[in-house]
This record gives sequence, structure tokens and C-alpha cells, in this order.
Amino acid sequence: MVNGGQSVTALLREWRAGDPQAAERLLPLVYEELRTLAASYMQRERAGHTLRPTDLIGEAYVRLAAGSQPTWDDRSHFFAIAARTMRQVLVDHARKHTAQKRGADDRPITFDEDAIAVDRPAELLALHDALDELAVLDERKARAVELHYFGGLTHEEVARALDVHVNTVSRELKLAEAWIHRRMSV
Amino acid sequence: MTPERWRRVEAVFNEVVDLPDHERAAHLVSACGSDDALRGEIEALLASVPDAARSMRTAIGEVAASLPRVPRLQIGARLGKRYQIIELLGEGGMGAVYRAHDDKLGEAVALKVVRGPVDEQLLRDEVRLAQRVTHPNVCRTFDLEEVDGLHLVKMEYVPGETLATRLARDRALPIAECVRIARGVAAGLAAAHARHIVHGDLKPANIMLDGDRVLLMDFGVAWVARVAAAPVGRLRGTVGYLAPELVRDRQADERADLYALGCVLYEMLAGEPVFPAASTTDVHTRHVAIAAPSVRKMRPDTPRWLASALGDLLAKRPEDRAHGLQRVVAGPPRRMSTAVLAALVAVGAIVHNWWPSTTPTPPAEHVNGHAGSGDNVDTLMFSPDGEWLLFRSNRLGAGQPRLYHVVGR
Repeated sequence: MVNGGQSVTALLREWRAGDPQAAERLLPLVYEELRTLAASYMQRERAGHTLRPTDLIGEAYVRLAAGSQPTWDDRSHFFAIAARTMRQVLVDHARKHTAQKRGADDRPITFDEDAIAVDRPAELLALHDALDELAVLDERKARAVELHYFGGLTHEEVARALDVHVNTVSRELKLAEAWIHRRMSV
Repeated sequence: MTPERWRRVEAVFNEVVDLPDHERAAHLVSACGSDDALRGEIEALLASVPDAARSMRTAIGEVAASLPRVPRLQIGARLGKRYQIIELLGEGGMGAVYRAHDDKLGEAVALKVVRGPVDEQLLRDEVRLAQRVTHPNVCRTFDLEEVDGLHLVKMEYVPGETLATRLARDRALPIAECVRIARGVAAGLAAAHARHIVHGDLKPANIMLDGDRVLLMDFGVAWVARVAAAPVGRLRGTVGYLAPELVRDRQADERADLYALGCVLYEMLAGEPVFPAASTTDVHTRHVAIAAPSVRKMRPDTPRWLASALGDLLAKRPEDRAHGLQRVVAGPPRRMSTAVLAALVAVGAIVHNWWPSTTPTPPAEHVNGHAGSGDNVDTLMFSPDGEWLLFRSNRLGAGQPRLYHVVGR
């Protein structure tokens, strides 16, 4: 249901308090954002394509923030939660489809089951595991990867979220990417 | 790997990663010394660099692309007792639109399946309002139904493509086409606004082009699902087309539609949005604080009347926009027939001091060129308001006014 004047600060407080429903409210947006992300990741070779994966999340943030006085921390936290949720959705989806082929059809025939087929879920899960390992070694780099790759933030936006210089983000991402890629292909 | 080891890996990696290939090897040997394992690790990482980003994007993209699009209906399936699903027309974040055959009406209809959860009362209210708009430029909204647990908004089926599709393909559109589409949208908006009904999410994806027809879709309905999806209050609209007052105060009325029309018109003319996205929050800030760029810089052949109407629509202050809508609805200032033009030239020749006396300031722009006729005409220029192309004659004599001949518009 619609929750009229809820402020970003209040929502973040609920999230911090671990209210699972608070994060769930972002889910429809997260799904849509992931589809945009997919489109931009799969069509990168098409020059001049300017899909902006973070638009929906960013829009949600602006709506939340309007009328309240969120801090810079709130903003970073919001994008971090969105990126984490996006990662979690993908991992759950990939796991479900490695564990079992679809079971008995319990959905109405009006729904199109062909739309649900997962390509290469193993690679995503390998990425996920490698990212977890990296977080133990070097938390900031892992967060940068999560924000950039799962959250769809640009290097500049990651830099603002992590409060470091954009050059630092670019440099650290290069190592983090190489390290994860190596883990994925081992 | 220990934290100390990781820091060492990072330090050496950063030292060598940007070196040209032939310098890398030597540098690695000196940096790693006898630590062959370290050198091996760095070499493996360096080898990973070229493919790393792409392979991560592919891993994420492929799974993301396969996420279920709920609710998606099976083509050919029957819905309730009345509808057969023919094809998927479009899919947005908040639901999908299908062409369906309505057995009772015996014709095609568009069914928008609203993705839940949704504020039902709000949806019902908006559908009721939308039902009241009947205008050739507004796609009819028939009804709200609940079938098999799905919320369906039943609308007039319009073949053709959306303006968003058209813009993605053609980018900028011919001037006449921009004018035609903008006038259609403006007329639809004006009709709705006369009844105090706000669209709330005007954007290229909600404008349908069917041959000569221009139809405004999703009146009042589009934003309801968005509101439900984001726990964020009842702010309407889409990021690229949000009026400043919406961003600032979360409140808006009909005039936010006018701003959105301005954004759409600008995009048709310029081939890109008023404020291309660097990031969403930047776009919002710019809608509020930065003046829209000049459309005539992006598209020099934009008629002045249109650029000026567009300027009104994109006004930061809502109260400054209404004139822009009127001007777009009215279309180009009336074109003169040849007869009228000839008469005007004749009159101009007789009452030859009319122009200078009404325009003491020099023209803002003019094109120099010699007419080449035996006439005493020397300069081709635009009138100060940009609407008229004139030949300015030589002075008839000292102290005499110049003659201006209207040659076209």
C-alpha cells in the first residue's frame, strides 16, 4: 500500500532496524531496474546507447527525499541498500534455477512460463562468492563493485557514495575486477 | 590471503598495471624480488584485466535478463469469460499492456495489467476521471476490472507506435512533424485540463502515433502504479519530464503537464532530452535550477514562434506556462495567401514608413544579400520577431524612409 508522506530518513531507520518489509517495498523497483541493467549490459557494443540503470532507484530516492532533509549518508545508504537488494534478487533467482528445473506448474495457465529461463546462473553465483571473499580482504573494494555492477552507479556516483576520489574508485575497481574475474574462471 | 599480503599485491599491481607491456616485466621482477608467488599472482591479475569488466557484466546481465516479468500473460490465453490475449504491446516497470479481443464488444481493446500491489481506491479514482476525457487526441479509458486477481485497465486499442519508439529510431523529427505531434498532445491536454483532469506522467512512451493520429495514453493511470511500487508518496511523473515544482514541493497541477509537454517537444526538435541524464539526481536539480538550453542552438531551423512557445512551456514558474500551450494548440501563425502577400507588398510600397516607425531597434538578425533585380532593393533580412523575410530597399533619398518588402514568412 501507499505510504504517503514517509521520509527517506524514516524508511532508512526501518531498514537499519532490520524491518524486512521495508526493503521489500523496493522490490518492484529493483526488478525493473535490473531489467534496465540487463539491457545496458547486454547491448554495450551499441554505441550511443544511453540507458541509465539507476534512474528508477534514483527517482525513488528523490521522491523519498523531497520534503525531508536527508543527509549525504542517507543518500549513500539508500543506494547501497538498493544495490544489495539487486544483488540478492539475482543470486536468489540464479540459485533457484540451478537447484531444480521448474517443478509442477502451480500457476494459472494465463501466465507465460517461457519467460522464465535462466542463462548461466553458475557464473553469477561464482561472482557472488568471489565478491564475498573480497569483502573479507578489502571491504571498500567489494562495496565499490557492488554499487557499480549491481547498483548500476557510475564511478563518480560510487565515489560520492564511498566518499573517496573518483580516481581512487577507478583504480581500486580495476584490481577488484581482475581479482574477481580470476576467481570466477578458476 | 592475509591482509598484509593483499596490500602488497595491491601496491605492486598499481605500480605496473598502467605501464606499457615491455616495461612491465622488468618492473615486476624488481618489485617482487625473489617472491615468485607474488609475481605469479600479479601476472594472473594483469592477464584478467582486459576481460574482467565484460565478463562480470555478462554474468549479471544474463541472469537479470531472465528475471520473471510478472505478471506476464500467455498469448492466446483467455482471461475471464470475455477476453482473449492477442499480443503484448508494451511492458513497463509497472505492468504490461496487451492487445486483447473483447468478445462482448466484438473488437480489439488494450488491457493494461497493473502490477500489484496497488492502491485500489486511488486507481479507481483515476480511472473514473480518465473515463470522462473524450477527445480525438486522447486514448479512451473504458473501465477498471478485476479478473483472475489481476487489475486490468481497459482502454481503446490504438495501432501504431509510441513517440518513444519513433524517437529512439529517428532521434530528431522534421519540424512539421514536431508541430503536428505537439499540437495533438496539446489539444488533448487542453481538453482534459478544461475538466481539471491531469495526466501526471506525460512522456514519449505515453504518446501514440497512428498514421495521422496523435493520441495521449494512460491518462491519470500511469502514475498510480508507480506510486504503489515506490513507497514514496504521491509524486507523479517520470524523471526526465518532471516539472520543477514536483521535484521541489512534491505538488503540482495541470501545469506540470505543460512542462512535460515542453520536455517532449524539446526532445523531438533537439533529438535529445532537455537535460540528458548524467544521474537522476542531477537531472532533478537541473529541472529546478538550470534554464533549459536554447532549442535553436540544437536545432537552428526551429521556427521562432515554436521556440518561443517552447520557452513558455519550460518556464520554471508554473504560472508562466499557459501561454505556451495556447500557442502550440494554435499552431504556426497564419500563413498568408499569395494574394494577401501581394496586397501587403503593395500597401507596404504606399505606406512605406510603417515598418521603421514601429521598430526603432535594428533587427536582431539579418542575412545580407543583393536582390539583383533592377529594383532598389539591397538587403535580405528577417523582421525583428523572426517571422517575416523582408527585402530592405535603399533609401529613396536623404531623409526619406526605407522601403521594406515582405517576401515571405
